[in-house]
Amino acid sequence: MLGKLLKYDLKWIYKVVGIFYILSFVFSVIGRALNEIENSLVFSITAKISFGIAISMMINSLVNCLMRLWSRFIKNLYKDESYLTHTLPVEKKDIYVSKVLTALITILTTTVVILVCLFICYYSEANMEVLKTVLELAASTYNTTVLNLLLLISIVIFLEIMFVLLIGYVAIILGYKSNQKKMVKTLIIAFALYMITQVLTLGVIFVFGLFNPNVMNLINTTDIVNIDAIKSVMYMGIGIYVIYIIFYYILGNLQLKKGVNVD
Amino acid sequence: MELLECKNLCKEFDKTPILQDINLKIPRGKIIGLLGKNGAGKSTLIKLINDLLTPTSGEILINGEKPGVHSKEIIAYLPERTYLDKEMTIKQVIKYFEEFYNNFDAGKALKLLDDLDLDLNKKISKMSKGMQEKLQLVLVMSRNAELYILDEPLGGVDPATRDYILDTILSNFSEGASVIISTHLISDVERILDEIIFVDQGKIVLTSSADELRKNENASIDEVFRRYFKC
Amino acid sequence: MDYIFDNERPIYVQLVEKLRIEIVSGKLKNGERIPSVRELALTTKVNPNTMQKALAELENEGLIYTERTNGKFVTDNKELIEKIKRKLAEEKVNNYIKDMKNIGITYDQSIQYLQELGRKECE
Repeated sequence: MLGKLLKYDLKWIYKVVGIFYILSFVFSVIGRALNEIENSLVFSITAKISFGIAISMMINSLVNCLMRLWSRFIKNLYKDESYLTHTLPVEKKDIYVSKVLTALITILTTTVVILVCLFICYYSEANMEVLKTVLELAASTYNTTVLNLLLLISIVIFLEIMFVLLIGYVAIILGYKSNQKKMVKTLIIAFALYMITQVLTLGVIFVFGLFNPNVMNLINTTDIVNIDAIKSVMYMGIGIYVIYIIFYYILGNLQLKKGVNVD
Repeated sequence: MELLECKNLCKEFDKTPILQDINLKIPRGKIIGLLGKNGAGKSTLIKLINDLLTPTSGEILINGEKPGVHSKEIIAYLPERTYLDKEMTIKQVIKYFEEFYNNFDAGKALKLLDDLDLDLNKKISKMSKGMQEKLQLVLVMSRNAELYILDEPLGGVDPATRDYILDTILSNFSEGASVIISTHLISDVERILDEIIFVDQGKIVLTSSADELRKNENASIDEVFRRYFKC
Repeated sequence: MDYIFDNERPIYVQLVEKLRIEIVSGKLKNGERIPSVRELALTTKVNPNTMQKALAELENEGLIYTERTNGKFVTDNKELIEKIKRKLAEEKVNNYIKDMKNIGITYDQSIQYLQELGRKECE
């Protein structure tokens, strides 16, 4: 049953986000092609416009993806369609897992599409050199390779987005438990959860700093930052985000299992 | 084991009781009218049975089990509102039902839809409200369920549609199954009812066999209802 | 069979009355198999349980009988049918005479009216 749920969830997200993928791709290609034609003012202006559109389409894919994930969550579980969702012969857990997996998959593909389109738009020997030197500088200070660094950054961004998305899911589940002003309560809870979690993160870093003077210096002083400290914080960040994501996933699941109260 | 049983069932919203101490047994093979004025608690009871609401206290057992995967397999529920993804076509919706419900008879659904003269490639959003409701009725009645729960199936429809709906219910519910019809339009359904349950202000105030009630009161159920709820 | 029911009396009682007439009038042929409960319920648009109850009542009267495997049949007991027909006729005649009396028409006049006006109805 989970597979079937997942199929319909994915279809619903991609139906619109897929269009943005195609538009991002098409405008990237058009822009790049026009850019390759030499020395024509008209072409180069159109290329610039195409790139602009392509970028906005990429941003749209991401924003739209998140919005559609949340909106489907509310529609499916708490609005008119919930009368069908909750009367399907499936476990509540499967419904929830399907939503979380859909988020994972669609956010991942969106990230990949954006990276590919950026590559199409801006890949050139010269640009690559610039990027490489910049990254190499960073990589050497991080004591790692360019590829690892890119991977690290992508992972952190991806986890951050997943974390925000899950906070949204949990806030919806909690907000829609009450009988009035569900949306307002959802927003307040989402904000509160986000703030609490971030303060907690700072707290954890502070505690960590008690044992690691380098990290403490990040908080205490305005000295030039210590690269080692940043590195530790970044790895720690990944660990903390993973723990948060698992925590919010379990919290949402438990809360949903208690039952719903739809209008 | 009873098909459906409610024990001391209570539901409150923000400390306001909506249903109070409901005790109820629904046997197999009966058509039951859940009758009461608007806001009496009929829909709340139905939503509790279908796991759309969580009881404040008390218990609901379907074939001895709490609402869950098993109960959802054997209950076919027609809610008051339209619950389909409006972006889907009729064909896609039928496939959806076929995939999720083991007891959904797609052939039967197609045959019933044929009588309605509907284009299967039409999107739900392009259909009139009345047609959407008929489609939902067809989908629900095409399931070989053990219990059909129909919430206000006759609300706000013209007499011809009323006949269509009653006919569809009578000719399609599977043998040995029970049907619960909630309504406040009693005169339209009373001739098909075996049992009646009167609900008022969140309580069950009367349960009886339909014929028994007619005999004892020497009046139609509609009449009894009117007398009972006279303000 | 499009039956119209009166909601003030038990539906099964009304069904019995209507089916009884169908049998004695020969609309449902003597000795013939009658459709299943569910089919009958569908054509008359009543609850199958109600139809079941009505058929049980008719079976009690002897107007229909069940063959173990083949279903239900209309009786071919001519005597019984005649008897019931007579009883129904008696009821109708009594009502007629009573009604005529109420509008001030004597028994003899009633017969006259019946011969004069009733023929038209029969034709």
